[in-house]
Amino acid sequence: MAPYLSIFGFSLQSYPLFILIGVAAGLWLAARQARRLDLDADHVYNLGFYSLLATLVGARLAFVAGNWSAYRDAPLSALSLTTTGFAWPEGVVVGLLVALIYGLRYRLPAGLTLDAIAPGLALAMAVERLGAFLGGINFGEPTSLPWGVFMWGEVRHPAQIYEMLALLAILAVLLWQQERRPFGELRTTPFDGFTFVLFVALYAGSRLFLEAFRADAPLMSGGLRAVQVVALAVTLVAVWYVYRRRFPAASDT
Amino acid sequence: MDWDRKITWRALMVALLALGVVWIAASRVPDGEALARSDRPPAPQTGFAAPDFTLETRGGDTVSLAELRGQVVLLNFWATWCPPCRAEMPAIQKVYDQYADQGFTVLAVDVGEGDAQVAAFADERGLSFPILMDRDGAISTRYQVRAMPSTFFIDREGVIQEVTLGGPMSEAFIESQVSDLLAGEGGD
Repeated sequence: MAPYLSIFGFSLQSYPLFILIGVAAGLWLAARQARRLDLDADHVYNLGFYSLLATLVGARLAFVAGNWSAYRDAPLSALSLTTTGFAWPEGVVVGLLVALIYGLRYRLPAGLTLDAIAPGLALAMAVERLGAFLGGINFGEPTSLPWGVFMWGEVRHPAQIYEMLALLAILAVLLWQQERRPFGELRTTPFDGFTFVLFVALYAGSRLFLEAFRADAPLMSGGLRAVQVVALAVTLVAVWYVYRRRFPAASDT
Repeated sequence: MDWDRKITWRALMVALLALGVVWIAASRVPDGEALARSDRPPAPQTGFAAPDFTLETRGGDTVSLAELRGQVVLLNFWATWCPPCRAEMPAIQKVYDQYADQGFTVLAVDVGEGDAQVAAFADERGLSFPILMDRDGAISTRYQVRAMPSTFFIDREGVIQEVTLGGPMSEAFIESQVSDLLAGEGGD
């Protein structure tokens, strides 16, 4: 664990630092893949950038709104530069809305744009997982396996590293599929949006498997890990969607 | 031919569903273990029991964290030479004034400074909450404090609910955490 890194004499928190590195790398890769798919790379980059910015602003505003009694007398406190005080789920909703509005405003092709973004998303999340490992966030269940790491008083599964490796493997599959054009010279995919659906299916599948090693997993009644239940449903819907596109209902018997 | 492929796809989906259900059942957390989770060894991290310590206040009394079980505690590591630490002290004082009679207290742990220096600063700013002297830095090491200020919000059960590294924290942010913890909602 290395929750702080010393860079040029500054002590920086690893986790936020790696999130920033991941975002930069992800945006770069999304723009690069957009060029490969003959999209306007600037639009894809901007869509990602504005969406992330909106996520940040939205998360802070949602936190302030949720704690309005404390912020009422000093609303400018919302601007304070701390890494806590964000309501992330609400922020993500705002970010997605902004991405949707940007896409509609500039009439970006939905499927291809998502295809361009998917590898960048996988890369950004892989880097974020490395940051989580260094920061000791989302730590794993105790284990006696030889590659267990000592974290928070016990030898634990390096769950964040498992997730990082899964995301890197997913990234490799997405890039292979986009670069090698296994579906023929003219089309990189069977349908626009395929890469993105593939990403969703593989990522949800990986969470379904790897959530079992996380010690901070939210639990449902009966001790079920909630993320696994959602991940299974998402995986199935994604596979079913590809199946439906592959065999449209009209040809059903 | 199309039909064969459809069968393959459907078989794949059924297999996925079956495997998924089996894996979810296998990685279920049994009730006993779920309870044991709240029994984790103390660690300076959200979701863990706050590591206990006993320190002297600048007045010479001793305070231990364990004695404060039942109260919401803001544990702040600071030093007079650290500008953001100085900057957030008035905000901490205000929240302390507002909530001290509702089961909230502040432990401001000064790391490695002399009594005279700390006393001069505290008197000048009118700080009335307990200021503890971590003279050899042992407690800040136990809390893995590498940057100041570092603030731990601890609930009535002695569990860390929020960790804020760096600052200054605004009064509104501190109040939002403290009022949630007093209401038993946990930090967010």
